[in-house]
Amino acid sequence: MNPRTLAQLRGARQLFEEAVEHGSRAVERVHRATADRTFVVLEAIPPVEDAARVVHRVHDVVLGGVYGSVRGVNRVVGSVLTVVLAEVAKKDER
Amino acid sequence: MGRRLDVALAVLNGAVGDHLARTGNGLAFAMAPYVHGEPVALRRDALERACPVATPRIVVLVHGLMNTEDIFRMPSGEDYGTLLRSQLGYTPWYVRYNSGLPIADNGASLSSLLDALLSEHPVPVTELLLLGYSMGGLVVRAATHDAAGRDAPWLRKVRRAVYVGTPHRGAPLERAGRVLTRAMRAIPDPYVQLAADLAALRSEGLQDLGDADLRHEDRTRRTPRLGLRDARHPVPLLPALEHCLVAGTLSPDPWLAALFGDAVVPLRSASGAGLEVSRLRVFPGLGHAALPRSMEVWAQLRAWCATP
Repeated sequence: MNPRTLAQLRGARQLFEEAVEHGSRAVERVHRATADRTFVVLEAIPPVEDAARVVHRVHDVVLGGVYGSVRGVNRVVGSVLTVVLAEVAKKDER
Repeated sequence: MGRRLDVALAVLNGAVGDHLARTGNGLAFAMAPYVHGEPVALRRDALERACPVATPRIVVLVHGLMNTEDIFRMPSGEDYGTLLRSQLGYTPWYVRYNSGLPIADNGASLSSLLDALLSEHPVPVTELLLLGYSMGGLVVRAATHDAAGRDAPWLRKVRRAVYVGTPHRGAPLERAGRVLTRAMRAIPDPYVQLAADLAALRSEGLQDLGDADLRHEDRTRRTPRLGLRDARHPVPLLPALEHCLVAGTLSPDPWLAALFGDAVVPLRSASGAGLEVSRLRVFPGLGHAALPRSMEVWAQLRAWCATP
């Protein structure tokens, strides 16, 4: 494979990984801020405030887990592609 | 596929090229002369292979934001470079670069590239003509500014610089983007903040277009407003060179021309208001996209360049 093409493939992998990483963080930030608005209102109502706080905490933990797993899978896929491209480069050198 | 990929990468470079360069991404263009879509090493043997019939008069063509050298290609397959070769004996060299980098950085890189090109050129260079389209004209100006500061030998070979549709006094579209981003930042809504984050991804090169910032120090003086920062540009045109400007307008009507310019660059900006311009030609009815590949513009370039 042409070294320039290989560098471009590596660059595309890197950019895709960065886009998913930063994109998921941005969406998570918006999701959290939007949900917080609702929880702030519910947590101010005496009959449901305790329950709302519990749900809020559970929600935040699940939210972090879901977006974190998206980033985790993204990093794994990125690492696999890095290895594949390194093998392609080695094969070309032989 | 190759050309389409190059166009897509050029857009990517213009949009986020500063990030690509910072992270060492292989999608970032490195500045180099390109022949048939491939970079040419700045060594005598490589330059000879790329151009077996080089002449002592050369022209260096510099494309604009999110472009490659392909932007100069006319439907006939000719471009200003090939026409300058066939009709006036110039050897054309097309420079490709990462248009998302600061204009000052690209100017310094072009200045270094010209050092190497002139020292390694297959035949000694007697005349260097610079031709920049849109942002490319600002890169040319930044390069001449860099060369003047360190007395680079290549500058002594330049008699004339041609700027086609160059926003010498900045681009109001970018200034509007700056105002909009700042306005969105002031709204405490997560969705608006997300949109502001996306808008702020604009590359440094793109942001430099707002006020035509040619030096790093000019960027510290940016203001979030639509109007021009100064009545005069902080970097004057070098008085030793002849500066030929080409501007277009969407409409021949003077009011519409003054209002919309060539659709991207206002007439006052493309005609270098406040700068000591040697020659200026305005083409009514020619939009920004038509300027780099127009036979009308070529006729004017030919007339200027044929003059000793």
